Amino acid sequence: MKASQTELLTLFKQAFEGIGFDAGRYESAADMVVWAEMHGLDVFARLPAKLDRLSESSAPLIEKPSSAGGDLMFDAGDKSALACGELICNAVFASAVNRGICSATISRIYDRQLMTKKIVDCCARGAHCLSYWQDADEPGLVHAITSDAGAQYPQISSYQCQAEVEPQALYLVCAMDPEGTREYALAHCSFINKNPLKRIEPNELSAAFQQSLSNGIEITDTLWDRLRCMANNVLVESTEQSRKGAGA
Amino acid sequence: MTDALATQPTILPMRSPEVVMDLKRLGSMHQTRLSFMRALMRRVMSQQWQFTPVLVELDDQGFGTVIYRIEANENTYSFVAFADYLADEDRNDRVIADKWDVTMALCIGDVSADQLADMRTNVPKQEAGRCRSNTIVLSRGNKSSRNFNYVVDELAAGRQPSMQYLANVGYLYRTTAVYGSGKFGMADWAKVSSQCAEFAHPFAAEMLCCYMLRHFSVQQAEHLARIKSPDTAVPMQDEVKRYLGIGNSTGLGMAPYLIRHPQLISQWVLTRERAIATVVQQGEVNPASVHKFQAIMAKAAQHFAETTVPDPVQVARNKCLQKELVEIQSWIKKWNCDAASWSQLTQHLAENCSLETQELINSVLLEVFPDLVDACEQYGCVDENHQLSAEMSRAELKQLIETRYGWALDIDFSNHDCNHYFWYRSEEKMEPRLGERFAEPGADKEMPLTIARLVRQCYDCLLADMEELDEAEPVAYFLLRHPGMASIVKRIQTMSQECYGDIRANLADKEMLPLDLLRCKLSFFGVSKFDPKSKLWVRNTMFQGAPILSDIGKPFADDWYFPVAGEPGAT
Repeated sequence: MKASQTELLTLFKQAFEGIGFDAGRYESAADMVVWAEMHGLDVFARLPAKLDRLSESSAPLIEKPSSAGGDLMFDAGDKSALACGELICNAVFASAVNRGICSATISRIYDRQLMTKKIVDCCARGAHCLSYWQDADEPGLVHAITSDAGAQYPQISSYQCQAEVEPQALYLVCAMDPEGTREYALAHCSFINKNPLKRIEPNELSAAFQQSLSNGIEITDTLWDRLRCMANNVLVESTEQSRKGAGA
Repeated sequence: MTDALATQPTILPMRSPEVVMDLKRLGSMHQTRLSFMRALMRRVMSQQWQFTPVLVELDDQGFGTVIYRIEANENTYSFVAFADYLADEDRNDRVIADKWDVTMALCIGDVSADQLADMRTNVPKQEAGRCRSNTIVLSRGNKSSRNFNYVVDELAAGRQPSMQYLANVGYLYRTTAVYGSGKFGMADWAKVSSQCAEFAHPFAAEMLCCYMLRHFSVQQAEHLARIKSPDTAVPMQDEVKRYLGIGNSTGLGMAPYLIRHPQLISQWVLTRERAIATVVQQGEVNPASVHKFQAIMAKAAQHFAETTVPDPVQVARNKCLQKELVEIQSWIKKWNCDAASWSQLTQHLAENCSLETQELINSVLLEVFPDLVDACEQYGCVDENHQLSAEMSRAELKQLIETRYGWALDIDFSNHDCNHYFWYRSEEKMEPRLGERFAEPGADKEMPLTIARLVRQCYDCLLADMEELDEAEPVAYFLLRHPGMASIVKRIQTMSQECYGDIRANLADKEMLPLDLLRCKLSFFGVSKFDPKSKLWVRNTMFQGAPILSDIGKPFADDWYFPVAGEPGAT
């Protein structure tokens, strides 16, 4: 079936609220998933497994990051970016505003690709961003997101290389000056100057979004029903008394 | 000296948010010429939209399908309505109903046979159906049976319905829900606002759908009159058609919207307040403008005299309004135009009149100076993204709350009465409802609509952290410790950039009247004749007095405010 952006955002918010996310997190998690799907990143297909994991654990409380050699170190505690991605991005961005640049390592974080929307938000607020990670089931393949301040869409690339990347970690750099991310890339991510195996350009993301907006977003009945089931947890049983609370 | 003054920017005497965003005042507002219905009709009339019936298949009982092709300024749309049998006992205005007299949709472009078949299956199901992405409005309505049958009988007998009879209930159908903005698979607002220029205005498509139901209601009544008595039936006269509006029932479902879209509300209120301030400052006081003011006041007084509602509170408010209108007319008569100003009037109102009257006079004033007011109609698209200012320090955030949300901090939430209600979604069609916190289950699933309490909780968290942490710490770090505060912090920071937007009331308070929220939004829509059925829902009338389709292309005075009952045949 096809659904609209508004209806998916509403459903995802209620579904995430239904599994215990608080107000800030269910809004941000819904935003991350729907943005990725509307921009052609095909996350709905892999979502059931992510929802299983989310349903089984409570949202993490991210401790104030430790600092190592100027880098911020976060430990997401084997949790999804949906539960903590925005909080971490905001902390890195705030540090970048104060210092000019901030690099962070976020350990033990799942669903790293879904961070894309929050990285785009940092760019909208004036930061130049670089992020990369490696998936455990794809050794030798590094995924990177790069975007300049003010850009509406990032460039998403995948590189074949043997970079020294901590498994299940996501590296995020925010700089208030474009030289900041360039210098960081030169020092730490030489793969960025190589030819990527695959690249999604900003115009492709934009086209996918327009397509989704115009024609609706495909979602399987199974996923839809699952989300509705999660969302039902926020609904209150209807009784004669409650009907009076609607003017009956 | 004169040149220097001329180059100084004009500072409009805008009312403060403290005054305007008070819930009692918001619940006393009336339609204005900036209301969405009025603005829509101006566009329809000035751009001469064309409405063509492309399918009218109604059987002898008035059931069937009607399609209108609407050629608007730049695009073509289709209005599709399905009229079905509905037993009297199934006629229910509540959201939880599942059958209606008529169901309808507004679509982009022409409707193919394939889509029509799809719509025939889905549109009558309303919330339980699915719409295609070229659908922009989904709605339904029920007959006002007594009125509808009376009108059919009169037309069938060769008579026009009595205007005095229609003054009591000025419509044949009531809409009970109007959905847009991406619901049930429909086009998102982002699509509508970017691809449908005619509807890139607040609720414009939804208003047009209601307007078309008004047209259909007359069409169906005339059709049934002809079936009933082919030899004697007469068509309805245009004066009667104009006086018929479309009814509307609005319940709590409208309330959360006002809380969740504060930037949008800020824009609506700002547009209205800017217009009022412009008129008060720049509107010339002369015999012509005073005469026009008095004439509109007289029409308004008659309109309210003809407004009959059973609710004793509204009756008292309307009576007080009429009494105060008479007093103001007397007071104005003493004016010396050379020395008077409209600000004197507003000052006099603030000191002597009810909120209901103050806001009505604001509406009247806007009618006196259309040229000044219509230039203020700038409901551009609002980016409703609440973005966090992550780098703001905790001390700055605390200061911001104290400066902008003092009204919220003044509420004592340790008092049970201040926590009396909670808002929640029912499992019945996810209908928003209001529960009594200390008497009903479900408070653990409360919707976050009580902004004042959320602000208070955030403020308390900030104070607690201040005792042991550096107050220069960025808000982003505060949120790592208090992730549940992210949403309210974003709202506080975002709304600090806006003039209006946050309604200054505790929505959990025992004395809070949800009706005030509904009336506020309905006044922006442009409805009239508020008829409260409880403190939770209200009936009202849309488009009463508005031009009819056959008026398009004729001179349009845009003076259909405060409609009054004339006699058929009168000019």
